[in-house]
Amino acid sequence: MDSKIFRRRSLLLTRKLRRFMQIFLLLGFAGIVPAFSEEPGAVNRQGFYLGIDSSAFLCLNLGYAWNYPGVNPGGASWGGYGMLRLPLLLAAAEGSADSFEIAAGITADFPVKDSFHLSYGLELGVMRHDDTLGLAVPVLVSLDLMPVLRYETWYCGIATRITAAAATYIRHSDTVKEAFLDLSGGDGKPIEASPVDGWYGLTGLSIDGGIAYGRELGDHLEFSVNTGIALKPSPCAGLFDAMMTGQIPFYLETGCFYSP
Amino acid sequence: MKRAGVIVAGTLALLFLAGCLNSSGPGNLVPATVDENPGLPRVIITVAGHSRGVHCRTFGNPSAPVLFVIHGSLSDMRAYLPLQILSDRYYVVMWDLRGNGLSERVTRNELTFEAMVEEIRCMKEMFSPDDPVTLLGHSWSAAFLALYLGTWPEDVRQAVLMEPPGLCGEFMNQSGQALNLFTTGYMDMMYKKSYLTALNHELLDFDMLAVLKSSVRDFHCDSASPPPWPVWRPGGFALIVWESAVLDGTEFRYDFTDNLEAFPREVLFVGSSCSPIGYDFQEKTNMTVFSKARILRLENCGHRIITEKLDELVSGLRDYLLEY
Repeated sequence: MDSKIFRRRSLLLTRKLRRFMQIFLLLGFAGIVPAFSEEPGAVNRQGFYLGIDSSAFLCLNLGYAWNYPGVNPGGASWGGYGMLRLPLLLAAAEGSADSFEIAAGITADFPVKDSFHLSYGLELGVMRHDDTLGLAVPVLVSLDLMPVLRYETWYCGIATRITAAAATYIRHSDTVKEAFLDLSGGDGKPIEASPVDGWYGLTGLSIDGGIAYGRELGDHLEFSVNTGIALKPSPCAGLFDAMMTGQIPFYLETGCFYSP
Repeated sequence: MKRAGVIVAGTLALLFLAGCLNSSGPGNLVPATVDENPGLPRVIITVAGHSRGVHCRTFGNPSAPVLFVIHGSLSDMRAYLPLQILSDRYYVVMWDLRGNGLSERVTRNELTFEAMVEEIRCMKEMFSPDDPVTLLGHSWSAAFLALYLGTWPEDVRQAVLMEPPGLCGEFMNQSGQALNLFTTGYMDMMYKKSYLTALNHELLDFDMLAVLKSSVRDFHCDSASPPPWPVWRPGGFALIVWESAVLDGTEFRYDFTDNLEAFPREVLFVGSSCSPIGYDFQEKTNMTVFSKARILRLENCGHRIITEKLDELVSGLRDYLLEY
C-alpha cells in the first residue's frame, strides 16, 4: 500500500482505519499527545518535542502510540498511547533516573462540521519521585479537550488539559520526621508526634490552556508547537511560582515527527 | 459485561479515594498548630481584627527586663531556642509569628506589614505593658522590627537586627540575590509541582520543608552543604504574601525606613561574611538610615547565624545588651 496516499485519505477521516504504530520521542515537560497520533497510515513514526516552561524544566518523553482499527463510534478516530516521562535535568543532576512517570491514554477525535473537530484525551499516569521529603508515588488523571481545525496538511486548535493527582502515596523521609521532634506542651512535657505515611487524596491540581499548531513538512516530517499557561487553582501555589521564578507560568513545546 | 466491569472498577476507585488520608488533616504531613493541638503552649492575641493563637514560650524570670526573640521567614522559634541562654538576665519571650511555625494560620489580609507591627505591639502589651522591651529579629522579622522602631520608638529599649533584607527597595535591588535554578533541590521542587499543588497550608508548608534544603537562594558559605536549620513548620503562605507585597514585577518597591533616623538609641546589626545581605551589605545600606548603629561581624558564616556561630553571636549580644 502507498502510505502517502493512505495518509492523505486518512486525513479525511474515513471510517476504515488501519492499525499502525507510532513511536515518538518527546523532549518536553508536557505529556500532551501529538495531535496527529490518531492519524492512521503512518507506520513507525518517530518524533521529538523540546519544551520549556517558566520553571526552566525539561522532560524527556518516550512514547508509543497506536490506533484501533474499526473502533470508531460516532465517526471518531480513536487511538491509544503509552508513555515514559523522564525529568532530564533532574536525572542528570542526581546521576540516576529513579524519578519518572509511566502513563497510558486514549484519544478520540470527533468531526463536528467541515474542518472543525473536537479532540479528547484521557490519561492515567503513575509517577515515582524520591527527594528530600521522601518517596512519593502519585497517580495522575488527565483530561484533554482540544477544539481544532484540521486541514489536509495542518491543524490549529485550543489545547486544554486538566490534571489531578488523584492520590499520592507518601513515605516520609528523616527530614520530615525531624520536623516532629522536640515538641513540648504547655506543661513542659514532651509531645510525641510523627508524620503519617500512606495514600493522600487529591494532592495536586493544574489546568493548562493554550494554542496548538501542527503542520506536515513534506512526506516524512511533521512539525508542531504548543504554548500556553499552566494554572494552579490555589491562591498559594500561583504565588509560589512567582516567588521562585517567572511571573507568568507559561509553557512552550515544539516538536517534529519523522515517518519513513 | 464490559460496562459492568467499568462500573465496578470506577466504584472501587472512588472507595479507594474516599479512604485516602486528608492532606489537611492535623499532624499528617506537618505538625499541628496551636488551634489544632490545644496541648501546645500558646497565647491569644487580636491583630487585624482577628483573635489568633500563637505558639509561645518564655524563659527566665518574669520580673526581669523583657527580650523578644523573633524568628525569620520560613522558620519558627525552634532554631532560636539556644538564645534562651540570655534568660540569665532577661525574661526571654519567643513566639511563632501568626501564619508561621505552630501558630495559627491566617488570611492574607492579616499578614500585612501593619499587622506584623501590630502583632509585636500586642505581645509587648501582654508581656511588658509598662516598660520598653528589647527586640531581636532575624531576616524578615528584623525588617518588621525596623518598621516597629519607626512606629513605636518609645516601646523599644534596645534593638538587634540580624541581617534584615534591604529596608527599602533601592537597597534590596543592590543585593544581587540570584536564584540558583540548577540545584537538585530546585529541580525536585519543580518536578513535584506536577503532583503536589499548594491546595492548602499543610501541602504548602510541607513543600517548603524542601525549600530549606534546596539552596535555591544562596545565603550560605557552602551551598552544596547548607548548615542545619531545625524547623517544626515553615510558614509558606506568609513568606509568599510578604515577598509579593514588596515586588513590583521583578523589582523591589517598598520602604520601611520611615522615621528610623529619629530612633535615639544605638541599634546593633549582625552580619555574616557569606550572605548576600551580610555585613558588607548592611554597612552600605541599612545602617545608613539609623543615626546610631554598630555591627557585629561574623566571619565564615552565612545567613543561618544561630546554628553556625552561636557562641560568637551570644558574646557579641552580651557586649551590646544593657543587662550584661
